[in-house]
Amino acid sequence: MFRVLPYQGGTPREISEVVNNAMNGKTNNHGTITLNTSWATTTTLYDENRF
Amino acid sequence: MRIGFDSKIIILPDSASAQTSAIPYGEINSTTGQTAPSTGTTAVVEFDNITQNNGIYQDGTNDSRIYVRDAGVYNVMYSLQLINTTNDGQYADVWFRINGTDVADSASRFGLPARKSSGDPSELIGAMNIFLTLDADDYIEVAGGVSDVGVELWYDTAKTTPFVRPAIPSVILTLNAVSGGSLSNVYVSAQQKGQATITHFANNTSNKTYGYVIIG
Repeated sequence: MFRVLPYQGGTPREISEVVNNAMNGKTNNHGTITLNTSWATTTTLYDENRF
Repeated sequence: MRIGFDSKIIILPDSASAQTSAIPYGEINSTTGQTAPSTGTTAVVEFDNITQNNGIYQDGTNDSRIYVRDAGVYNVMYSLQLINTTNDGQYADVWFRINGTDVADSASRFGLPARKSSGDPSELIGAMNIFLTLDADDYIEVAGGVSDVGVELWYDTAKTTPFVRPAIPSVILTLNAVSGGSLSNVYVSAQQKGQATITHFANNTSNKTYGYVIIG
C-alpha cells in the first residue's frame, strides 16, 4: 500500500510523496484477483483492507 | 474501503491462463463402434472419451449427452465415421437435439455406396457444424436414423501397417463458444460497500488471475 495522508493534513514532505506517487501511477485502487476453480461461475472481490 | 455502490471496476487478464483458456470449448469422441438398433428407429450417438475440456461434462449415465457449463452460442461440429456393410447404397440421416428435443432444420443426409466386397464395407465421413444457443447445463445429442442397420459407426484401433496411424474414433464432436472471451466474459454482476461479485465462465483452471482497477 502506498502512503495516504492523514485527514488533518500532512507535512510538505508527505504531501509531495503522495502527489508524486499519484502522478507516477502509484495508487492503491488496483490489485489482482484469481478466479475460483471447481467450475465456479462467480468470484468475490473484497477490499484489501476490509479486515 | 474502496469499493462502493457506484464504483467502476475495470478487469483485465493478468496471467497466461486467464488470457488463453477463458472461452468454453470441448472435444469428445467414441472409442467403440456403434450400430443402430433397427431400421426406421431413431438412435443417439454415444460418446465415452472427453479429450479436450474447458466447460463440458457428461452425467455418467447417458453417454449420448454432452452438457455445457456456460450459457452461450456454440459452434458444434460432429464427424461420423460411417460405413456401409450392405450390398446396396444406403443413407444415414443425422441431426442435433437440445435437452432431448430435435433442433429444427439441423438434419443432414449422408449417402453411402454399396460395400466394396463381402467384409470390405464402403466408408464415408459424415461431418456437419451448426450454431446452437444453449443455457448453462443444457445438453446436446447427435441423433440419427439409417436406411439399413448395415450402416454403422466404425471404430478402428491404431495401426502400424501398411503405415502407422492413430485410431479412428467412430465419432468426434467438438464445440466452442463463439461469443465471449477473456475480457468480455468477466464482469461485475453485483457490488456493495467493500466487495463486488465477479461473474465469469465456469472455471476450473488454476492461476486464472485478473488485474483490476477501481474508480470512484
